[in-house]
Amino acid sequence: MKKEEENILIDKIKKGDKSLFDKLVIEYSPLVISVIRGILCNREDAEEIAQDVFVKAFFSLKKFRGDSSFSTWIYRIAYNMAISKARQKKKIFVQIDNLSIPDKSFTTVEVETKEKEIQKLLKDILKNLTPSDRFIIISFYMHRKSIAEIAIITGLSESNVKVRLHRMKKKLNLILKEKLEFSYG
Amino acid sequence: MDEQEEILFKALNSLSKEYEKKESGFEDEVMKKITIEDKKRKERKETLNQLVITTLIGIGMATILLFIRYFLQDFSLSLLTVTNDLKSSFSIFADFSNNPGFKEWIIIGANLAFLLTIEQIISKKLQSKD
Repeated sequence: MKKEEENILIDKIKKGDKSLFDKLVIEYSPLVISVIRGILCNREDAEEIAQDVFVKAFFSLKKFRGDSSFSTWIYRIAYNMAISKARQKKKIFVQIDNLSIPDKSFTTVEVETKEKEIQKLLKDILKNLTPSDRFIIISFYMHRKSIAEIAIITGLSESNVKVRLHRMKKKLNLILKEKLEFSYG
Repeated sequence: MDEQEEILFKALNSLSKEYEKKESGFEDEVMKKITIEDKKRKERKETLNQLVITTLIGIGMATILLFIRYFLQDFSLSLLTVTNDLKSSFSIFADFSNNPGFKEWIIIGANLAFLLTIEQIISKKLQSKD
């Protein structure tokens, strides 16, 4: 959807045509679900919270002035709601520097493809990161958000995001390389 | 983009499709939740409005009753002198409330406010049934 079309749509919804909101839901639900799933690592919770994100967005739409794109705005709502849900769960996470290579290795010849193995490995690694670190990785690599955008959404400084991203990139690559070389020689 | 980044981009992109998956009917579920929440918010607003109106009516009633008593039963309100001093305002109110019959009138006013509230609740329930 083009930005102009989107703005017209939002204006119409603000004026009372509520039924049009489902167009925004269709457009942005994959993004919202994936960011929440990335933070929570749980599909069921992610869908439930994604629905609540859209409900919240609908009732806060009057506050949306269009300073940022709708995508960034809803992304921020999704981030805040997912982070607060993650805090409720109180799972213990590790800092990136202390992250160890997951136990499960690919030493045996499995039917899985290399891509699937990488996916599994990444999922295992991501699960052990803090929710905010996971969010940084996912929004940068998966959703191609800029460092400036991530800083706005998370409330962190751009330099802080850069440093965290750099550290995680280094560590993730190290783990991936070690694992894959070990697996495939 | 360096080689390290490329590896991560590729790997995480392959994960994104899986992460974006949603159950069918997601949009309908969202719209249903919005309708329910909208109804709840409207009801809350309506209740709040009714509460404010009822309270104002109650206060108005109590004031009118006090004035009726003042005019019909020679009840002195001279103590209610306008003053900026908050402390003395409180003591004036305390003196005022010690006057005979004050409590009765307050009780009558509160009863009226209570009855109005009940009436509002019942009419709201009947409306929602319709």
